[in-house]
Amino acid sequence: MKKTYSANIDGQIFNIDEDAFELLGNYLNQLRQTFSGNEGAEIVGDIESRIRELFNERIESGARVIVIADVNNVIETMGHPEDLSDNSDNNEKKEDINSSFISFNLPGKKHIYRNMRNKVFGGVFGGLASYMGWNANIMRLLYFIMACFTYFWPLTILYLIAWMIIPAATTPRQILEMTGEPVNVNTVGHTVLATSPYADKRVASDNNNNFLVTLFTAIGKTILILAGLLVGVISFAFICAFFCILAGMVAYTFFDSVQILSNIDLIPTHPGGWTQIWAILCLVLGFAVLSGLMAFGAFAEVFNLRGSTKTGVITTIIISVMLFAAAAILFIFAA
Amino acid sequence: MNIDNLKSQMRKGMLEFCVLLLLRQGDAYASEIITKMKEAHLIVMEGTLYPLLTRLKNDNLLSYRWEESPSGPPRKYYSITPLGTQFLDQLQSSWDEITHTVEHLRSQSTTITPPDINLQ
Repeated sequence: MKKTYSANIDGQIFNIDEDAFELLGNYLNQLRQTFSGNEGAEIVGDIESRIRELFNERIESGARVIVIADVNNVIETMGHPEDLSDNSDNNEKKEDINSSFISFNLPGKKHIYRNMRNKVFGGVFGGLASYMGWNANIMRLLYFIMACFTYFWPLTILYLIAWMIIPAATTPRQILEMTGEPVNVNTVGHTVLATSPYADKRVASDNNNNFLVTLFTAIGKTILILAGLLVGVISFAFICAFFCILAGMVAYTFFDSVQILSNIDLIPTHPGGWTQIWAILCLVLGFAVLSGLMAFGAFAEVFNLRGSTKTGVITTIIISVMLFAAAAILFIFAA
Repeated sequence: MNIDNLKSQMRKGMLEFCVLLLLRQGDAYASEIITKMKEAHLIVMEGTLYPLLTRLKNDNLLSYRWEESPSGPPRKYYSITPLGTQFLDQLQSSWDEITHTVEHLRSQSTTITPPDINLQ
């Protein structure tokens, strides 16, 4: 199953697969860089209208969707940009083109993505491994050993945060950027072809280290569920504490009752006590927000719910950090 | 000396000439030109034709008009301009000269050396 776009190619609407769309867009962009200026725009326009004709032939012969093979055929028929550029007889232009091709062939900018083709549950180590060129399984093993030594929680939390913040590599462009390969027609075509039967690739890699991946997946999911539950409970406890303190403060201010606050060992009459209560309130709320975010993230990933967005996660983290800072300042005042 | 490179150079030099020759027979749109050029094995990659057409048009050797097509959006019909015809005549005479010289050399070479040198 693939996502399709409907693309307007020279005035005609085509249904086109996501990867085919990406490849075609890349191809046209490279043509635009090859043929620059007004003249170039016209040339690319002509080529685009020819592409429409070729696609139209496919549709008339019964195809419903333009797939990656069609785009590759078109590129073979039209020619790769680097072959077409030789045609220009203008020397100045030729230099121009050459320089633009040099920049093309430079290794692309590397980005960290989560590797969806090499993942146990988040693809964080798969992504890190392709980013740094290491072996993902060795990294996983090291992580596991380190996690054992640190009683799991710090590293689990780090992993969860990384999972939420690092985006997944889904498009061919992102997959290439993950390994730092240059994004051009050849590499995109290669990647797209290599990844288009997405599931096949996954099955193949499963066959290679079936046991290891299954083991890691099982351990990972279990840890994640337990972590999610624990963090969820912690979050709930903090929320309860927050409302208790709040109720106590309301009771003290409006009804002159110290009972609730003294029950939770807070004495507002103590010098600086009132500031201390505010500090604790901030601290508790900060923990509640942070653990709530983690619980949400863990469950969203285990049950394949739509995870939180990057900006949402960052905003929440900033809010809790601000709460902690406020708590620290208030504690200093209270002392 | 790369034989494929040389062959494609020779072909490239002739492309403009052939396009002009084709268009003198009558107006055509890009796909028609491509089909004919492909039949004559002059073009391998279609993409080479479009920059060429645009260049010839910008040099006022060709002009084009939009014409409705029975299917799909309007097509760009190319036709040769008077300047283009003039240009073509010049090309033709120089072509005749070249072929004459080459033929002459070939006939000479066949009499002197056995035809070992096969450019295929």
